Amino acid sequence: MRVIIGEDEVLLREGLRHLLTSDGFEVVAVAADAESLERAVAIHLPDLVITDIRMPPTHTDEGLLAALRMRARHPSIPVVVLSQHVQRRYATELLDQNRGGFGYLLKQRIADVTTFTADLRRVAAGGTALDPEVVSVLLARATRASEPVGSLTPRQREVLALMAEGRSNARIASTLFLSEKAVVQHTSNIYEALGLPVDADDHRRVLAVIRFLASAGDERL
Amino acid sequence: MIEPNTSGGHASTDGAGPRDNTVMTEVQMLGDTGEPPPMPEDVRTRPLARSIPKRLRTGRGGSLRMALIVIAMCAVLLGLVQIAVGLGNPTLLWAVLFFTAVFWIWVASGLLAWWRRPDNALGALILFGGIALYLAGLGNTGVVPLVTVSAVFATAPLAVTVHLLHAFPSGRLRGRLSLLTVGLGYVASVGLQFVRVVVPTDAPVAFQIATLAQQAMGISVMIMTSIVLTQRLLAADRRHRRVLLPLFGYGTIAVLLLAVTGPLVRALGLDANVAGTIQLLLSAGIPIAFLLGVLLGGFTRTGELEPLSAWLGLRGATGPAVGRALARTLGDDSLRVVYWSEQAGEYVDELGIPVISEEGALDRGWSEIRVENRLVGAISYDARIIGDPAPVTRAGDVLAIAVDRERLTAQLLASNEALMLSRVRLIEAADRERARIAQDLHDGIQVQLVLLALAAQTIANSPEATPRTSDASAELRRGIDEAAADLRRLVHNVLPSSLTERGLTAATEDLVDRLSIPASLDAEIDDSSISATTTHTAYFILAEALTNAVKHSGASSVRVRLSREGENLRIDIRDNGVGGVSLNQGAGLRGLIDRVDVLGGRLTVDSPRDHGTRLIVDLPCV
Repeated sequence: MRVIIGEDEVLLREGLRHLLTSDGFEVVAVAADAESLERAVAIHLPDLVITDIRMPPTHTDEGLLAALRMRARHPSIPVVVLSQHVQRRYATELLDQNRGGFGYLLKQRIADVTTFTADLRRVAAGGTALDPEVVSVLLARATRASEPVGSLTPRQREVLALMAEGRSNARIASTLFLSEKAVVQHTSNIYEALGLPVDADDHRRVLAVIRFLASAGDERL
Repeated sequence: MIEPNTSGGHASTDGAGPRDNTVMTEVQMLGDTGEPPPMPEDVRTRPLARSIPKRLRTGRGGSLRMALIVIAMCAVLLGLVQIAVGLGNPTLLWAVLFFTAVFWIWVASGLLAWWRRPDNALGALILFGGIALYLAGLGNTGVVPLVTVSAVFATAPLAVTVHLLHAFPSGRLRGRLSLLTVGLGYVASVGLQFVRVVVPTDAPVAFQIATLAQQAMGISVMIMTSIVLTQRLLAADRRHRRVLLPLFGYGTIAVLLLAVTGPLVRALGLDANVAGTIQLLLSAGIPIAFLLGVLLGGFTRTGELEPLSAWLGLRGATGPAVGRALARTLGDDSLRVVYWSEQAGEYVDELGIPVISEEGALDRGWSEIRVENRLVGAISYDARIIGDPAPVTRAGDVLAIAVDRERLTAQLLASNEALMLSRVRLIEAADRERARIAQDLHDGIQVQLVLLALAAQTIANSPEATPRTSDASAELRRGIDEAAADLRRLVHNVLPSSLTERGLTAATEDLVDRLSIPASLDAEIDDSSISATTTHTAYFILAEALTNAVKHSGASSVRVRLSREGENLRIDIRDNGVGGVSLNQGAGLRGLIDRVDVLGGRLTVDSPRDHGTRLIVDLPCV
């Protein structure tokens, strides 16, 4: 899988490159700023882009803006955005394009190599990967503001959170020490409670859940 | 409602209320040194007379009035005495009455002119003319010593009239030629007349010489007078010429006619009474003409310096109001006050615009204002209208106090401004330091923790690792992740990355998102229009207030509204908690008040017990 990395911090960039290479990814280019990242993407048309949010010259949010532009320009290229701090707004901005193939994770998640590379592969396949911290913010807001979310059982909310992170049923089952069958039962109950249509496609189903959570929290107090 | 006085300087801008109307207020202001000087507009809209408390409009004005009344009474009495004496000489009683009437006209005109312009000697001069006329008319009473006195002063009114012509309108003689002419006039009309009267009747030659000398001198005086008056007419502007021309014309013709009527009438063989009548009628017109000149010449009644100084002292008035007040007091519309700018080395007006010095200009008087020998300004005035520089100098002394006070006020404001700026710089320095710390942590230790965790996990995943090593390394990685999470929170508290990356709205949104109670945010602001210092201050206030709402108020919901109110950013935070919040409790908000104060903002807490808390903060955007 051909990957391009956008990261201005040399040690982290090389660490990522090493991690990805040893896990079977092919790093075709690295960039230290948003502009050269976008150029490299246009040239190589990779299978996945990983970018830091803060990059030179302003060290604000140019990595995210570049990610949003790339998703508009090359809809088929998935993007994973990394950051030291995650917040709901950036997640919803990535979500606004109503397509899978994006990830938004804390940088610290890199260290959990197995989970991280699994997230990358899922995103590359058109899925999503939302950091648990963002999901917890989304879920907390939705629980307070939305009647159906508030009425879920704690166990259902745990399952819902893992779904929103983009986890597969098998992973949810292993995380929560449940049988996959029990997870399927929970998910169908959740879909029913939230009034979401059941979709055969896993990625689209997850996207629908995230969108539901993001908009549920926007209901006025 | 608790309203801390966030800043003396800023809070007072809308506290201009008590500067109106009553005497009490004006007097109270004496002690109120903190009051800023009134705005020029404030003073401009009100005439000076009204802004001077009535109580202060007394002093010299009152005593002058008393003096003039006494003079008027004396004049009436003198006239009555003359008439009473004249009753003993019935044949010339009509002449006595006539003289008395004309005397009274002179006195009345003189008093009126004096009253209208207390600092102008013209009124006194007219009065003096009246006395000369009175003395000249004493002869008609038929009382012997008085007849002699009358003979000596018979032509004195002529000299006084010449004096008046030269002294108009200021009341002072300007130029050597004028002084000489007037002096000669008095010598001819009184001095030589005296000689003619006292020369023994057995010395006709001496009498003849005196008469000839008197005539020659009289003609010279009139020629010189004509020259001087013509020059003045030519130099005068149109407005003044309208007054000067008829006055000079009448005055000159009157003097000439008065001088020649006697001989002319005699030559025509008419009765001497005819000459006397004509002369009296002519001379009656003289004071009236000068009085009209004073009244029609645009010369308003001048004021007193005492109330002016009181007014300046009380109000600390400066700028255009001072110039106008002074012009009014001294009765010269063309009067200007200019200020000496030490930086520019030139005179400037009250707005700081350089003005051309009128020092030494034709007909312009120039009086410098000094404070302890330091030049602070000057008064430029019309020397034709204000003949005596003394009141201008006195006015300058009065003004010097006000000007110096303004200088001191400006210095104080400047140092206050410097202090404010240094406080702002301190806040900005603290903010920069926070940003630097956050950036250092972000670039340095946070990255290192990612790499350390990555290394630990790599060991854990390594095929060579024993299960124990693998477990221990995975545990180590989780520990490092936890440390990283703690660090993340620390960095967030120092300066949230969203504030740096996106601005106030995004950072506030993140803050509200993470609250444990339902919270709503309503933000209608343009983040880019708000300065970094204000953004930081606003964020810390929001963070502190929201923390308090969750921790202490027991609120079940909180609403945050960010809006733009004119030049200000308004933060409005409302919760439905227990209320009773005081700014004096706890260090959290107290510390933020200082920040608000430095930025010139305003912080209001409304927290009735059991009715929630509302915190409103206004901060200047820039």
